[in-house]
Amino acid sequence: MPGAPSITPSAAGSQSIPRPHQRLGIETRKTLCASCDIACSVVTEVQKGRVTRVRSSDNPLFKDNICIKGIVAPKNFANPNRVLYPQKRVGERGSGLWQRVSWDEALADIGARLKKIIDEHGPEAWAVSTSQWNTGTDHGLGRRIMNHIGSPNWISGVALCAGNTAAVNRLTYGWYPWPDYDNTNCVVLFGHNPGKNSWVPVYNQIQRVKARGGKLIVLDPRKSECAEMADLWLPLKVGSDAAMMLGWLKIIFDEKLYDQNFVERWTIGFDELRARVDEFPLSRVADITGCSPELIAKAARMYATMGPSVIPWTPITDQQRNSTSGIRLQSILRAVCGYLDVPGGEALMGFHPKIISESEIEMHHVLSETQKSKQLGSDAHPVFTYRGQAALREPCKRVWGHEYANQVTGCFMANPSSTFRAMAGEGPYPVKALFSIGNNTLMGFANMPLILKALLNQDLIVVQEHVMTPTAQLADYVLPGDSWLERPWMFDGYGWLSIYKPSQKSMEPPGECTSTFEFWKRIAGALGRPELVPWPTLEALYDWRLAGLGIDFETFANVYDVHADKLEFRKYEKTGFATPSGKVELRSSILEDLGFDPLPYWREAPPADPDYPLTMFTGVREAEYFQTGGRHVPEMRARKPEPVLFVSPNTAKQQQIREGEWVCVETRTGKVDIQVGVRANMPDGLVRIPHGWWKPETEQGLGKLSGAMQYADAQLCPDDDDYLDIEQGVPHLKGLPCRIVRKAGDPA
Amino acid sequence: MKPYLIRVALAKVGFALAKKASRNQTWFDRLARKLLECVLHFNFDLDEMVLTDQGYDPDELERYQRGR
Repeated sequence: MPGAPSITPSAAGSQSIPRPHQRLGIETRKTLCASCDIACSVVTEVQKGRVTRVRSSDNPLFKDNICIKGIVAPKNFANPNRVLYPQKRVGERGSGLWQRVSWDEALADIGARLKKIIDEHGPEAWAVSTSQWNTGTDHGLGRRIMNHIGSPNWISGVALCAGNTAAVNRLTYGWYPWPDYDNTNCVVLFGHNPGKNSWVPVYNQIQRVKARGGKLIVLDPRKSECAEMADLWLPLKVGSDAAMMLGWLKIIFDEKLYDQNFVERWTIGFDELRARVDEFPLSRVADITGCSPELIAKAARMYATMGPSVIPWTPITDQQRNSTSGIRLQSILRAVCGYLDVPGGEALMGFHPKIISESEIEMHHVLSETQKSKQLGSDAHPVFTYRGQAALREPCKRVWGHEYANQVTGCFMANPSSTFRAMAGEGPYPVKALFSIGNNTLMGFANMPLILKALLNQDLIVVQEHVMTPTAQLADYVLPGDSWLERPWMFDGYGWLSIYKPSQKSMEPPGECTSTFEFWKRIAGALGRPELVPWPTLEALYDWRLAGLGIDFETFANVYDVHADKLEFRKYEKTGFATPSGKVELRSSILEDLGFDPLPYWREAPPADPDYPLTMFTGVREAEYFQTGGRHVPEMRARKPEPVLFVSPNTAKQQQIREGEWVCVETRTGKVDIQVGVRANMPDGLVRIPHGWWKPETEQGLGKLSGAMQYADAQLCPDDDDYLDIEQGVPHLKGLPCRIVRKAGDPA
Repeated sequence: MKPYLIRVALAKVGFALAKKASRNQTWFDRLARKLLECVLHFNFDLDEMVLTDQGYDPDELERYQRGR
């Protein structure tokens, strides 16, 4: 999942504070932490050629934006089991038998095998899976090469985490906005729970908002840490976000709490939306969500009247059966209440006018319409594919100056489940080569049994990683990636914000670890297309991107902490919105043209499954880890040694389980071993499962995969039609039927 | 809620202040930084491990990396 930069628009254009060395012999570097996806501005201290400490930035704008994952980075990347040299599989796939080879040997063989696959099956037989953060962003180079070679099949974890949010937001008003925390009066968290070690800049901003008298509304089935500090906590039933927002709109429309001038001038489809909302009286919404009509109404009034309010991005609404409607309803609330592109609301930032964006580098225009039409999943679940976003090309050019805005890298993706089916031989055509870049593909998506089958059916798997992840253990080649301490980086706000932040290289990478820039440059060469990555170095690429500012990257990194264009509001008054109609589309013309309901709606869950009487909530990140990474860091494992589920005391009693006991959680898709944690803040009947567990210290290879087969939550998550959002095809991870089975002994 | 134009003006003043404060080179920059530090001053809720962190010894990291 992608991320949030640690500044707001009001910090744009700021320049760095001179930083004298703190102690004799200790050099400092200005850096962006990539231990998760937030890109906090930090300072590294370097001794004897190593980073020995990571601390928060000296710039007051970024004060205390740091967490435990950041400060253990020097230990993380000094991992004695880190992959330092290219490894070639020499036994059966998953046998664990490897041979060290040179980069040149590896690339020559990879290039020859990939070309053979493309010759036999077409370029669409090559898929790439990456989340861009673990080994760093690839600057759009992966998509650039794929577009020239002819493959549309790029997938990512952002399909269910912010990338899809961006794509769905674009349907309504053409750009995914960013909250102006500095000036807002009210923050609404849909299940998200930023904390002292998770999304720290956002957590710090929320504390500031609260301190100056702003309001915090939290919607979460459990009384989370953020719910504890909220002015209003709505303990809604898991997965009922969309219904809740339909209820909010019912109050806002009935009581005329919306911005009538904005709605009249800048929206289309209000009457149809109003009619749809009228189908949701608060009694119905209360039945669906489990919250009282009075509480629902109070929250709606607070959002609409205490503003400007913001609804920051949340992974929770991203991962539900009604995700498209839920994300659309968040967009609609922003619009009808007049919170779009105003101080304290949510800013539509567009492209930086003088810095070349990653969307431009990706060159989506060179991929033919024929190849775009082959993008897997675009037939049944098109919203974040080329097909679903095609109608936004002209409006995006008209308003923002470019046809393709690949915000949060999530706007032109293949559907992951469809891609895995094709990889497993169950799709419209075969996919026979997978590149997995810092992604741990096996554990990063729903239906792990299908993904395992897909990986075992590949002719070529290439992984670039720091450690031997379960996915890497199944590869043909594992290539060593560098870390954020060991390379420069120019953060671009993930194409979400028009801000740029530099990160200086702090130390040399160990062994033969290289950047994703080097990886893709060598792949282009191996495919006989070196002209696709013409820049000799990463710094030269950055110099080219910054040429419009008249400075090179070294100067940029020395002078700026953050750079952006000037601050402007209500830009739509000059340009209109980047939608087909030029207005905010409450009734989506794009969804209608794709054959879907153009209005947000509520889709009921399938009937209860008597064999699986509990409800599971998964995809939950723990503060010590980011996604499936970090379990090898001793300090983090000491804090969080085992996967632990959360249940309420009543549920524990009913299930006859106790704190610390090992149990098996089962769904119709699979099962995992996990310890019990009894928590008073959990609602009855709900089981909270942490995401991404495996144990790097345990047995590698097919069968065990370092504990992935025993602990990974992806084994529990289905991706059949009942558990997929229709329009995007993203899995429903918030409210799955499950059961807890007691087991004897300790499997750890 | 304050009138829209006042909110825009305040946001732009904050923006300008942040730019000046961050540069922190001239006397006016430093004044702006002091103002910003006052505005942004806050005792955030930090993890004890973050509050007490002094980093690692380079030789300790070297030994760890070599598995010793």
